[in-house]
Amino acid sequence: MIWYYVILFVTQLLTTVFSWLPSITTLPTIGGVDVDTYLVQAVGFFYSFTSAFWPIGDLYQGVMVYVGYLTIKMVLKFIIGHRAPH
Amino acid sequence: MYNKLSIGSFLLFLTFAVFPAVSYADTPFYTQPIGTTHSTFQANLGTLTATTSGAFSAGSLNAFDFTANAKTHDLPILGTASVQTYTDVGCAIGVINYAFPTVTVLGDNVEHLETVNLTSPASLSGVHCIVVSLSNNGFFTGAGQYYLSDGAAAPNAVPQMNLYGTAIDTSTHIETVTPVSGSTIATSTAATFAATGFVNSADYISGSYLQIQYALYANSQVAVSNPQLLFTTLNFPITSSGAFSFSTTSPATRGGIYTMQTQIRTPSLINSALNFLGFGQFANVGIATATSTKFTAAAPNGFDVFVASTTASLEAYMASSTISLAACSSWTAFNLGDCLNLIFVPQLQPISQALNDFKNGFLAYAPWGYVTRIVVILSGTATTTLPAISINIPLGNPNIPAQYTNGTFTLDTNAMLQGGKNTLNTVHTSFGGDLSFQDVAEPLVKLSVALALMMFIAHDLLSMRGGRSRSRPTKLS
Repeated sequence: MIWYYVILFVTQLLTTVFSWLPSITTLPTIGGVDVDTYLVQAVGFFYSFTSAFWPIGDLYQGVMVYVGYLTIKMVLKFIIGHRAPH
Repeated sequence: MYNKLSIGSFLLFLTFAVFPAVSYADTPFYTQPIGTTHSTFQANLGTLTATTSGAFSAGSLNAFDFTANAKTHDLPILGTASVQTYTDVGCAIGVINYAFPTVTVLGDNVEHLETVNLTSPASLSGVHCIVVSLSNNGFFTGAGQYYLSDGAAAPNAVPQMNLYGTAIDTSTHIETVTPVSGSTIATSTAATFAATGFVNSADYISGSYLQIQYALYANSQVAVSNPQLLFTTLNFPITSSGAFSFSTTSPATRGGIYTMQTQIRTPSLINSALNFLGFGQFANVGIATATSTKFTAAAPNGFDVFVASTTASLEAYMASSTISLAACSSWTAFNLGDCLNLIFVPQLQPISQALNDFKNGFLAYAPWGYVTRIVVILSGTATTTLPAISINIPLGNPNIPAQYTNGTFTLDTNAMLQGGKNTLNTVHTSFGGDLSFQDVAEPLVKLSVALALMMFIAHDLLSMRGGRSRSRPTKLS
């Protein structure tokens, strides 16, 4: 319950404070190239490939978890500066 | 002189005799005041049905098209005084079978509904029902021939006009307010604020007015010297007794919950005297009646969202928890282990929901929202079939058209991929059951990946990269 409310509080606080920022739902179209669509399609191809060759899929999953960790760390660093884990 | 008076009187006589003050297409045949709701009054529709007749089978639903006999028919409602106490006045056309009084008139036969203009009593004498057309009216009849005409020609079935109205509450009261209590409106610079009601003549005092006040709840969260200044006030003078209806637009640009107070205010002799003597600041108006409502402007602010979501999330958390709150809150059911579990161990569903909200809310904001979007795409699970690649290859001798052809070479990457997969899965162990290569090797690969990942993260978190974090000066160091 404690952690739930910590997350809830941080979420509400940050969402409220930064509510003036635009919310991103799709990647932009750059030079007539719909980056979002192409990326979704490319990832779809990759998953189709990894469904056959699973070791690559497992490695990819590991990389994605690490990228997620780095993303969270980046956001934390943006919010609380040097007090975030280095 | 005598002749002039005679001529004048004659012309005046002609004016009233030939051109009555209120003229209708048909002679008013109904002059009674409006009855209670759905009270029945007989009315002869005159020429509307003079030539209409039809044969109907017994006990069945008979439809009869009146369109061919469509007439414009006017039913004046006379008696201004009584009409003032009714609203939603209307009339309905139906057919009553006198031979079989239990006849049922089907459908909504209201052809025209005219609502009394409550704010202008002078216009009430002109209220009337107009029958524009009648079509596809159905009704049950008994056996035999029935004529839709006036009672003299064929007494079996007589058209009937019902006149109805809803009695108005004549006490001094506020009938409706806009925005409706509990409703949600869009934030706007021109939100509609309105009120309707009635002031009884016994309660009416010249100088009365309707006052609408509204204020954002959130504004009252901070201390102010004069709370009255938080309210936006709208005043509407009430110039006479009777029904009133006021409406105006006023800004409600900030999202959130608003409180709204609507009052019928009346001056008093004491107030007048205080004003006259220069002590207006002590004057106070009387409040004849008042109502307090609240409404929500869309896009509530963060405080409102937080309060609402916290209450809701607490209930959701408890609903999803496998441990009852009683483990912590009850004298008899208290359980230290369960209580510690409830307080400190995250429940999977609400935690994942909270993290998901964090991702969809804060992490979606620009510019880091682009990173989030990329992560979301990369984390997807949908597969897209690999495309087939076709290449046109010229075959033969280009100098001899008869021997020259355009061959197509197709590389079906998806078929190749699936073929490779099938080939790989043909490898099976000869011991320990029928395990494929994937069954044996994948757990080891996943374990390796997980261990490597844990080491990467632990190494990063524990700052074991040559004590770099210690060497970096910070505000706390």
